[in-house]
Amino acid sequence: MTDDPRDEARKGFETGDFERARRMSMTGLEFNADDLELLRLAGKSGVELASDDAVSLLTRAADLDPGDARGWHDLGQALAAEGRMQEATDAFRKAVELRPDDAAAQVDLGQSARAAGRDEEAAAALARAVELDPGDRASLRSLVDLHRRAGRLDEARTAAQTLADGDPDDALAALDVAELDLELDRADDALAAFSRLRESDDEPERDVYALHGMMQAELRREGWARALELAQEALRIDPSGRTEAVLGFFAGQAVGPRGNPVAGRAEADAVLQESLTEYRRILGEELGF
Amino acid sequence: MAAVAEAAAEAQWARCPNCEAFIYHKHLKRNLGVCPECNYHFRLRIPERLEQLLDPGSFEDLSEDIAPIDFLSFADTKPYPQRIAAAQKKSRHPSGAVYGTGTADGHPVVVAMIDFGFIGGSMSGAVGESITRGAELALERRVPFIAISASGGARMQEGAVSLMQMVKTSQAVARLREAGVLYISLLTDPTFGGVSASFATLGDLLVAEPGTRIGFAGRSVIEQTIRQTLPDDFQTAAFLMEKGQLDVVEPRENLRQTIRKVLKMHAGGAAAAEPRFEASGPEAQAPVTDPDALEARPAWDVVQLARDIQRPHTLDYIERMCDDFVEFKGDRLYRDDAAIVGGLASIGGRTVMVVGHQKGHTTQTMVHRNFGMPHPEGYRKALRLMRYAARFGMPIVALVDTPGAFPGLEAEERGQSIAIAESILEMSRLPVPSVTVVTGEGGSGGALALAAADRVLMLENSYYSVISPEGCSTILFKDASKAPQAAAALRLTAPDLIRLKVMDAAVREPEGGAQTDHDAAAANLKRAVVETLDELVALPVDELLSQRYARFRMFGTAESQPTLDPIGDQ
Repeated sequence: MTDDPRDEARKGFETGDFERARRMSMTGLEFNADDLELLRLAGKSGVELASDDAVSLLTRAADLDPGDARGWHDLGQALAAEGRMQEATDAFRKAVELRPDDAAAQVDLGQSARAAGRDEEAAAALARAVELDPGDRASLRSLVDLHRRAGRLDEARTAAQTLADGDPDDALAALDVAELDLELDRADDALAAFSRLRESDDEPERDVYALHGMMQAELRREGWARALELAQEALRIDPSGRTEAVLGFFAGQAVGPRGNPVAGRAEADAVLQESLTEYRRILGEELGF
Repeated sequence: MAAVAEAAAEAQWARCPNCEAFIYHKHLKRNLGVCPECNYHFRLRIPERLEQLLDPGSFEDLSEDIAPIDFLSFADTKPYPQRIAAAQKKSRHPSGAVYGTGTADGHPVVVAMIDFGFIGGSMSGAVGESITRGAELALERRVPFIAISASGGARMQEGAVSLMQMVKTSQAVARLREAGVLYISLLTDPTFGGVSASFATLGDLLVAEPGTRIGFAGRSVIEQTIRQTLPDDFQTAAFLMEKGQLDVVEPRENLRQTIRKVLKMHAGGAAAAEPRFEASGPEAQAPVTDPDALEARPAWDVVQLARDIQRPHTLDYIERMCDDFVEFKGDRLYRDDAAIVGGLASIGGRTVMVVGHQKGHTTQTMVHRNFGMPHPEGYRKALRLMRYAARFGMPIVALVDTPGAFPGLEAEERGQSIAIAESILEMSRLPVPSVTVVTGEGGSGGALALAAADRVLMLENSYYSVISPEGCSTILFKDASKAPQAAAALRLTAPDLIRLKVMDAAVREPEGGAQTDHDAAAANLKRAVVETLDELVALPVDELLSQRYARFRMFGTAESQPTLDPIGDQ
């Protein structure tokens, strides 16, 4: 135990006792309202405790020492915690300008810019973040998305492959690779990627999604006989009715028209794409909170 | 650099799987894991869920010795132990379920929870063990049990052993029910199959968050089987609520408060044997037992007053009489009938179960409430709530205001008569005090279903009748315009019904009728209810049941049934 509120506040923050950190730093600020460290500790504790004054405390700290990157970064995080993304992006940008090699600040700039709809700035910051920290999977995943949305499919594919190589159990990354191969008209690669996806996802009941992906790849390269085999395999495990909806089309292509197929080529493609979209949502939900 | 890299690698941002918005983790956490853009409720892991529900630091995990077991030496494309190891790595949890003790707003509880991230929350021996041990501990300590479910169903890799968990957990819940220990089941997204068909839907209270998907068979399986496209909201919490299968659907931000309110009222209910009601306000008028002390208003005038569209209904009274109220919905069979409402309430410091007919004040709400005319599912809901009260020793307060049970094809198909009869039968034997107050229209059997009570009161401008005056006029007077005369002949007003001993007392209304001053009407009603319950809770159960039997046994006997003088002679 020490009598110095700064020491007490610091200890509280370091040990996760944010109530104590905040109480002691606010006590210290009564004696010196411009104490930078106390302002930061009070503000950052306030962020953890969802206090209303966290942003104002950290704004004051940043104003007092505008050359300190960490101060702007802290302020950005406080603003982001309140959902004020435009302002958060501005604060993170100042942090990055002052300290361009700070991977964490680049990540936050990239993600807040993405949330604020500034995709180009987001992509640049996240790319830099990954350069600084190649193991940052969250940034890589965001980059896949940003590149893909911007139509930079090769860059997206590269980032997705890096993710997939980094963790063979990452089904979402494996799905990204496979879908990007489809989008890039690399049906052979897509087939291989969907095969790997079957290995990545440990949940047996989700095998049908990868099979649908493989069927879509076969459809793209008009490998009708193999597509039909896959459809027959999928039919045994698919409770959704999607396989059944496209089976007639593939059978017709493989062995000649039989009756009235439910779907034509475009419809079959759309049904299979719908399956992959559902799969992506399931994997996204699994990432959770 | 290492620290920087570590910080960067930590996932500080989440992407909403529903609307794809990007959210800062702390923002999401402040929002309790609910997307601020689209209200999607992210799945919570065990620590986050318990942190939201329980008092900080109060949870003690007692499940550390529980681990999944490969009972069948099962292997599909991979041996089961490999799948377990992968699930443990992914979920960072040894078994995918926990149980332990904690407090919620200071109230001790036992909590058990399944993590969907562990092989889809499927029901393994380990999951069943956590739930069962949790229920057994709650029984031993006689504290409420809260089970939080998220599951795709049975664990195939454990075969019939998984199936047996359905019985194991259900029988543990049955013991809680027999012992009158509260069991709250929180169903989270998704809850299906062997979990939804066992302990998860056996709670005294079934609570879910919006958007939660709950069902036995999966949507796609059903669509395939019946060859129909199902509605978008099929198997969602809102769908199930409408179908009468959930008590409460609350957004996550309200969930903690609702559960705490229920726990608080249950804690209060435990002391229900002690009459400890606060005196009502000085402005509240006492109920009247002397029929001559009541104004002899023409019966037809009373009927008009009782039907006044602005007259307060059950929810209006609850709002004014109760310190706390949590509405419970549904009959758990078919549908939630909005013509009857009910739930746990605190009146004058005592926890009671309130049930009552509900009309509306506007065209829209009147239609929604079916003009206060319940279907069978309404009576089944009321009966379910009254059984709940009996299980926990809580008095029942029933408020009657209905033109009658709904006369319709579907009502008959679903057993309107049986529903009313069962309600009368069970209410007449419930081992807890009950008071019914007719607050508006007391329409025949549809009213009586909530009126087989220890004490039956009526507001002074309400009526209680075997048939509507219009119906009687048409059938017996052979003239629809004779309704006022029929009303008088039916002796349906408070003074006559007190004389007939159908009513025990009348509750005063403000000048001009209850519709002129809801607060004053509610104050008088509250006083009547509080004082009546004070008297009833002092009686031993045997005496209570004996008196209730005698109360209704005397009707229609020459020895004890009073008769009324002709109207002109009064």
